[in-house]
Amino acid sequence: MPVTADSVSFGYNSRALILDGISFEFQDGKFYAVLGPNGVGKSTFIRCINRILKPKEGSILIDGKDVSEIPLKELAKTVGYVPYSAGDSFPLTVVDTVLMGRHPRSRLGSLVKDLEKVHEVLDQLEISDLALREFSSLSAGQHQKVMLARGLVQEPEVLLLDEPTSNLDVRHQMEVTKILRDLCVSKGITVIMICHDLNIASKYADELILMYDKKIFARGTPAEVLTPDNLRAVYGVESTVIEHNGRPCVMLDDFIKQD
Amino acid sequence: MLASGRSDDKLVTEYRAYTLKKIAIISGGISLLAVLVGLSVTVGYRDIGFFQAYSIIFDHISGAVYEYHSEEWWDDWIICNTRLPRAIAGIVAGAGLAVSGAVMQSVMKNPLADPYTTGISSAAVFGVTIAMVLGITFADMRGQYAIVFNAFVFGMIPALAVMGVSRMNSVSPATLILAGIAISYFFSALDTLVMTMATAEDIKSTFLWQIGSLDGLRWMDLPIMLAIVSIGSLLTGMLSRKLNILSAGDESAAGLGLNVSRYRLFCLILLSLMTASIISYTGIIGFVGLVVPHVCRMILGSDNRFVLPACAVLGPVAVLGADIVSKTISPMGELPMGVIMSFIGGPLFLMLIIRQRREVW
Repeated sequence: MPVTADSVSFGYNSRALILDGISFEFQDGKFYAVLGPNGVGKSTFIRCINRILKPKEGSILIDGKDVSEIPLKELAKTVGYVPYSAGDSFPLTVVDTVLMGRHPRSRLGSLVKDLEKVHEVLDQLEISDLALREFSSLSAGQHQKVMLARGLVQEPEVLLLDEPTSNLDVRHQMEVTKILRDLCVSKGITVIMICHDLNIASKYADELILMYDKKIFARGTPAEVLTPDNLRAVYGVESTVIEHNGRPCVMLDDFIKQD
Repeated sequence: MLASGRSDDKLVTEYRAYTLKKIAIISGGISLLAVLVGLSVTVGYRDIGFFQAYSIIFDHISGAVYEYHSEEWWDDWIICNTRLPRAIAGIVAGAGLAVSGAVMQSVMKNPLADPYTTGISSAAVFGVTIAMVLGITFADMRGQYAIVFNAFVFGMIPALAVMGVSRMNSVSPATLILAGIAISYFFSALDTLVMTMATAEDIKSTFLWQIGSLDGLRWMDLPIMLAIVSIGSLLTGMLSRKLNILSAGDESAAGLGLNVSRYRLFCLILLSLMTASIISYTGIIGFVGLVVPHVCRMILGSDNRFVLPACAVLGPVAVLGADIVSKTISPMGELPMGVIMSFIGGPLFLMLIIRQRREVW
């Protein structure tokens, strides 16, 4: 399902904008990685897409409809969201935590069907053995997989992920990102993932969005975005970019000392 | 069969067993409550046996008629007109306060939240005090309706204020409780101010009312409290899944399609109404709203689908238990039940905290 951001600006007050006139069109069934240093508005941008935050100016359209006019529950059927943190809450079991993701679709008597969907996703993420464990007893990496499972059981057409692999080891980062990539290909889901690992983003994403100073600094294929000049300007690092299996691979040399 | 070698059916079966276990525990609580009701109506200045009490209630329902002022007539009158309504008031108050506490802790995402720490109780008490001492009520209402309405209107003030603070950016759960406690102190000060203007007789009656007690409650006191608490508990129970989602955090809840602010407002209005209806009849019964939900979580985990019904059972168990001890120590009602509740409940809860092995908040 295509998502269009049209001149989106956001700020918690009128004097300090966090996003400044961002426009972008996410195409159906593609995998997008949103990159950029801390504090440039990546999370704010994806929270505007599913109406957690309301843009001060501009609009977000999903399949041509303005998200501000779509009822929240209907929107949650279309747009899944995996937050950065599970937050502090009263702990539930893994099954009950993931079952929350069925909220937009569940109705009276749908529990067995919902449980089947939950198990299918837990199995896909290889965490079905955790099903009846308490969420609070899991490791940070397992937390992230459970949160991802919750987003996937929403059966969304657009999936927003805020650093879903930040606590995972390299192997699990690759596994989870590959699952997301496969979802794009097999189910036509549009995936928009915030990521700090440039090489993971390069390996799996169709397009990269490099954000800097409240705006999109560069966009395009990994080869177009991951250039030493862009990385120097945005991250303040010197790097060498080589090609590996047809994709750019970033090797960091040094950071630039700032006066 | 899925890749892990564990079938969907197995998960459904295991999940069913897991939920049945919780339902069995709650059913055990209901049995305990039934026993306590029996004990509650036997304890008092007139000695009536446990099974005899049930027999009297059964005969009364069956329409038995006794000779005026005979021993049987007095037993029937004492059980059915004084002790039974008192026990039912205890059940309603305990259930309402414990459910309110559990809902408030989830809505505020704070284990310290209850009608008292959020200032709702103090404000509701102030509403009742100005009705009793100054005769100030809203509209043309009179009697108990006016008192309940006063308690509700004033109880809503801290509820809305705390909710307003929660909408500000970067507010921690601790800040919300601090805001609630500040509001609580404010209304307590206003309450004291009004009391300084009262006559000695008004001060006595208001003070005695403020100390949580079931003493003197009769059938005519029950309808408003029973109706509001029943409807409120039923509604919150029906929305318990949403409450789970809300307790996962505003961002997650909104991402899952829940209108957070609308649902939170709905819950707070419901809780204020429930608390106000109880407080206006029983005075302040502390401890139940704060501690009973935590005890339920220790036993059953944090799923509100089970915590809320468990609170509706264990809340009355706590209130009736304290009332039985109070009546046993002082049959004429000199020792208020609220005092007993804190004396026994405080150390008991402390022991549970120290001994608990799993994280429940």
